[in-house]
Amino acid sequence: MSSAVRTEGSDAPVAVDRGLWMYGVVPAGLTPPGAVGVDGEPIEVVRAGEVAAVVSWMSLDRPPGRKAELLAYHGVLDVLARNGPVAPVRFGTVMADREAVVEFLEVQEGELAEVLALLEGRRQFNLRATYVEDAVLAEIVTLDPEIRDLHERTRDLPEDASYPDRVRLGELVVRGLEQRGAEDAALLLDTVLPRVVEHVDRTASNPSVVLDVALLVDESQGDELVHALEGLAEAVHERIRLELVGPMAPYDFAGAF
Amino acid sequence: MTVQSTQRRGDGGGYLSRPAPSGLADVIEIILDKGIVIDAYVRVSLVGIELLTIDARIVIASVDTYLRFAEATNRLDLYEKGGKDLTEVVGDLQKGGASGKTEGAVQGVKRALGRGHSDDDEDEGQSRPAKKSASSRRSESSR
Repeated sequence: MSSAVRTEGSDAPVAVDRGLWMYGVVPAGLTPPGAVGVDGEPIEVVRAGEVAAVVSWMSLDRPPGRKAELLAYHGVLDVLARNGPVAPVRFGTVMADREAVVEFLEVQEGELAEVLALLEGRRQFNLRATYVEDAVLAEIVTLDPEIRDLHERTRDLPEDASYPDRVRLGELVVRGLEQRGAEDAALLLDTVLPRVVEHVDRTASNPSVVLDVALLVDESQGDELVHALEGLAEAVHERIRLELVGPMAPYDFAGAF
Repeated sequence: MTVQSTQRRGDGGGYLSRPAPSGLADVIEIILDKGIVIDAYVRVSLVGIELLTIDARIVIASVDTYLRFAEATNRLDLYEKGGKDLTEVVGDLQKGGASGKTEGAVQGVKRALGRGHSDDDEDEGQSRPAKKSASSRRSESSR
């Protein structure tokens, strides 16, 4: 915790060493439920026109980016998302004072209101599909003659004797994974996309990850999506594992402007 | 990859894993580089989390990656002691596909099995749709 002096009960910054931590933007008409934010400070609402920012005071005199801040930020947004539409502000954003927050809201009011309208009644889910590595590697080694040859040639040799062949083998395997990944991802999306409003690709360049997408889903479609994914997960389970996280705040659908 | 522990959790079919994000890594994975970016001139600071995450997510196609997958294939033990032989593996894959409810995925399995070569279109894996937002994270956070 910070060693800076806190002024309990006061809204105004007493010195430049305090700032307003930004969690997200909500409709001005919506009163968020109480929640405790970073440093245990209560969240507050700063309104401007149709939109409002959810903030809490924090000391700037401290090392940034700690675990407690991440969890507090995530926790507050979780509470806000369950209460109504919220557009998360990027983690770590701190404003000098209320005037700065109001200025930001006023300048962006139109876009923010549009985003909130898009998010109304909708939640985010993250879907990740990962290969069952041994099953898919077996496919690749079995079906590609060059890979099979390299595999047979390198498996019983000492590591340094077969280095170039092992690099080549791995390169071909990764290529095979990526090619299958693109095809399997397209097939999975055939089932997913009709049931979502929007999606954003989150795929990291990990060859074993088939698909990693954020999905914006109508609350009324949530059960149907889960049901469809359960069927899909069963159908592909020997090759691909499906993992669904959510519902959560729409982190991937707020930063587009 | 050891995801087995969570595989059978959840409702209904039980194959769809539904973990609740709880640990630090899960939360970072969800929030990193997301959300509204506020211009530097109005904000005090964008508190950096690079230190926490710089190595957390990026797996690049490097020699190390290749060697990891080369080793993974060597662990397969396709031909001896305890490992299934190739026809068994292929048979299992076909069975898995045919029992499923979802036609698209089944076709995927069959198509994958029907293919003799896997290194045509070698760059397909990289041509997935680009990230729609948050492409400016390094420049944004280093201002």
